[in-house]
Amino acid sequence: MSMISHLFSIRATTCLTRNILRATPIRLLSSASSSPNKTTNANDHILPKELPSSEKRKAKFNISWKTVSVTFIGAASLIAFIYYLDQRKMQKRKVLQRAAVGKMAIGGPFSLITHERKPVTDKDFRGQWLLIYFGFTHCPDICPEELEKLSEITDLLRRDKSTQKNPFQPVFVSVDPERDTPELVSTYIKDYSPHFIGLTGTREQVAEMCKHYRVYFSQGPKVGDDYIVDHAIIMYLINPNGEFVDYYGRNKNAKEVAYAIEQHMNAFKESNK
Amino acid sequence: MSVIDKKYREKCWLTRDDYWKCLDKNKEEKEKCLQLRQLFESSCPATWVTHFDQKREYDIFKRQLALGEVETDKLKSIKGPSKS
Repeated sequence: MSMISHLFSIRATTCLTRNILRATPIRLLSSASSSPNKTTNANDHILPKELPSSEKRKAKFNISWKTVSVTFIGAASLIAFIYYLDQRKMQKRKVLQRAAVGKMAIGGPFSLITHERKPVTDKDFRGQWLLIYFGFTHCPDICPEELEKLSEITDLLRRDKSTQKNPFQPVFVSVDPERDTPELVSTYIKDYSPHFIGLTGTREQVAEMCKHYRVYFSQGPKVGDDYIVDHAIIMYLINPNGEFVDYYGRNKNAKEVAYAIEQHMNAFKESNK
Repeated sequence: MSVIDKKYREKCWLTRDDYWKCLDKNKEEKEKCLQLRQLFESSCPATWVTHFDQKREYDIFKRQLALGEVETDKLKSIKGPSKS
């Protein structure tokens, strides 16, 4: 596409230059003829003052300003049209990219209870942007680190008032249903942010959600009554339509994740105007 | 006090960091850091102690790998199938 536009622009410029060159000698001629009493005989041998009728017709056809401006307008509109086509193609590509990520079969319905013992499903979160982190309260170091990050992301995104139409909701989902009661989850998440919603449930409910979200989790070896749950360390972004949009691992820091989410929010606003 | 309590977690991490700093100073000689080790073990649950010990070993291995200090025959054993 850019090759063609290149060729077109080259052609346009050559057209233009050809016309300018054609126009200039005639301008020179006319200026020479307008100089009043200086009937310069020198000019006569370059170009005759009075052109023969056939030449005159040709000269009329090549009259400067009209030809130049017409060619110029033609070239400019051609270039503008090609630019417009190029922009349309870029937009189409962007839409396809977004659609491609959304088509990854991640996400689905879930049915759990909140840290306040309120039963919820995925449908209750429509209209909100969700960032879901899977973890457990007896986690030695990774979950606290990631939850601090989630808290920072929440603060960064809540600063911008324009996102209020579709608010940002951070969610913690426990992959340790045996131990993590709603009360335990409630105490745990309060240490990180007052805005978190914690979700837990029966083993079946948690397993069902983790299956849809492709989240691996497995109870480790027991030491007495204690154990560590091995699990995928990941945050999932879900848009107000309940569709999976993006994921973030340990390699991204809070600012990077918040920035990426903002881009998604803006794109969503644009496509839903 | 249990791991659900933020203060408990922070104390555990502090004792772990002190113990690790001692190991750093003494080139991993555990005998020189016995007291800190005891404090660490009493401040954290057993599963966490095991977890942090494994983490330390892994971090040291990663550092050695990056610095090229790992013996090449060790690496050969973990290399994938080669073209023959």
